[in-house]
Amino acid sequence: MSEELYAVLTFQAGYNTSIVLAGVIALGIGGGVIGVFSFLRKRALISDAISHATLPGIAIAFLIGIALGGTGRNLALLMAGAATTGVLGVLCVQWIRDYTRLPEDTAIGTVLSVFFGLGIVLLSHIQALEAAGQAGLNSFLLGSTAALTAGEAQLIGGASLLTILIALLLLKEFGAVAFDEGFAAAQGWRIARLDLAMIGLLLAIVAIGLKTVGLVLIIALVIIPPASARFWTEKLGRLVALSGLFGGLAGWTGGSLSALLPDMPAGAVIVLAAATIFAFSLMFAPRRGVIGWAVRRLKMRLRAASVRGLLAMADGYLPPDGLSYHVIRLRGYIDGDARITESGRRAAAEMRRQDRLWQTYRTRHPDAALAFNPLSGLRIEDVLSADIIAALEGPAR
Amino acid sequence: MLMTTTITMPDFVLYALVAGIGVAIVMGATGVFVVWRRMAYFGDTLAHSALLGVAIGFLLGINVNIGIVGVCLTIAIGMVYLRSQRHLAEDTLLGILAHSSLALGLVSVSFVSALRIDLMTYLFGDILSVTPADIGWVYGGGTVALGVLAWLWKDLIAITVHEDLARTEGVNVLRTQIAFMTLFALVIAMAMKIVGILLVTALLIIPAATARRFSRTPEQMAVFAAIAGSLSVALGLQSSLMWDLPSGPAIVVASALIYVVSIALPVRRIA
Repeated sequence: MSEELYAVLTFQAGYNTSIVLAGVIALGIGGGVIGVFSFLRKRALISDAISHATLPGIAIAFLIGIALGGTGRNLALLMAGAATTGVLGVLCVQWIRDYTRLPEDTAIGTVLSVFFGLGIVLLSHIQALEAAGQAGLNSFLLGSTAALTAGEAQLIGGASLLTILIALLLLKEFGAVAFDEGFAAAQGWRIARLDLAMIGLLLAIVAIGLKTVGLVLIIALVIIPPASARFWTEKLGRLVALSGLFGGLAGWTGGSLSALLPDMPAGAVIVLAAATIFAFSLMFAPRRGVIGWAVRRLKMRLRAASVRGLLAMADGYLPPDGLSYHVIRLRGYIDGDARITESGRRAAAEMRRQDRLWQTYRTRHPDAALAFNPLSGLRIEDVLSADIIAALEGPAR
Repeated sequence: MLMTTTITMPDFVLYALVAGIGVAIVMGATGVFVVWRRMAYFGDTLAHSALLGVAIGFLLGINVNIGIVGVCLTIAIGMVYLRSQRHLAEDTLLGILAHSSLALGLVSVSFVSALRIDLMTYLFGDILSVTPADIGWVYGGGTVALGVLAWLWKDLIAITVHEDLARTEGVNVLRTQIAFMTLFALVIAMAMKIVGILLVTALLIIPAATARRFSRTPEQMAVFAAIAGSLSVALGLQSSLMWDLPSGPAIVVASALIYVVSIALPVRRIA
């Protein structure tokens, strides 16, 4: 199993598997890159609606394909059908939002489930037909990598690369719209048109990924990578790069796994790979991750305990609670017999002086003092110049 | 006349109708708050995670409904926790939770073996396979749900209109919200068999959206939504039998038709 996995991961498991894997990786990168913009514009909901709204289009395209005398399984035709009803879905959402009193999320939920329901009705109608090749249609729901031909994988990979290219060309404009609509408008860019372009790219990714990931989960490839990337960086360029990387990573690992497990729904495996990356980022990202946050919180508590203990000692008491007692004891300011040591006395006096100076500074220069966090542990000498401190030690003017 | 049609109905259709209307009534009343409090996506997320509950129920050998309620509650609590971290926007969080839990559900279900779980039944519902025991679940759970909803009603409205004001008035906001989430999880577990995971939200929000135009009070809206939901179930069931359509999607499409027709009806607006 692990040898086979290694072979797939390193593109040594046959021509077809390798092409499919490359296509899935390109798709993952595309989803990650496009996803950044819908992430920044907070468009997760509408993208979900788009992906669900593609189902009736797929079914109708299939029926048209049959009516034209083919098998109906032409991937390009199915993708075109998907895009058509996807656009229709967006228009319906906008209409409901603009012309009824319903909130946007209700409008989206309504359109999403109705289009999807309609798609399922059509799909079951198709399955009742005795047409050749209809078996492949179910894979559009939950995805499948096993059934992809090399040609289809090339189509998927090429289209993904094209989408990525367009997104990168519009990077500056998208970034401006996402962060500062006013600036973008002042630049003379049409915000509505850029939003439309963004939704168009989103739709492209959805249509491209339908067959591999399936329309139920494809949008996760757009939502999850940018959210994971956001834990690691604050810069737009890096966000796009990281998000693309995470998406590609999910496509690579998930695609390889699903090539070995044809019974598992491929879309679910790929999305789980992306979710694993998200969980890892959520926990371990140094600045914004849960663990980093907990560590900073702990440090803060220890610092506060130490300040509390020293201030109590300056007033002639022992540290008032268990935590501050232990912190102070560890620093050697208290000896084993609960007596304050010489260094403890000095540290307490210094803490009292620091605290008094800071308080004076806050009373006399309240606006300037706002810039300093009282628990940052900064010594006042490191922040203010000697003459200001001397003035603080003297009487108020 | 009505009696004879009822009696000549095959048993499974009668069961389906009775269970479907029960679910529609509870969902209509709950849907009022889902629409008003903008929780449509939240409901969708809970519904998506329900599949994981099904898989866990099978794996642990416990009742599937208990598995669903357990997972939904876990997701709801996780959501509250992640939201308090303020790292990510709410819709992003919901998107991540919905799809990750659905993906996990799909994978675990395929581990449990395809023989015992018919995936499509859970995804799209199978109202025609409703058993008398299911009806017991629907009406038992439904009575509890409606009771809880009636008990929460005033507080929920207060919170929905203005959360801070409600708090000042002495409403226990956190308790009410947790109770409503629990209720929500219960309702989704109930409705899964009828319309399936992927379409539960539809039966929650479309009838409520239909009712909204004709209602002047939340109570009216709840009643109208329950009626619109029941009509959708009856209509959807009928067309599902007539044209051999999948029942869950047929019900959703029926509710959408009722919504579209209702938009065309004239309404006297309050000035």
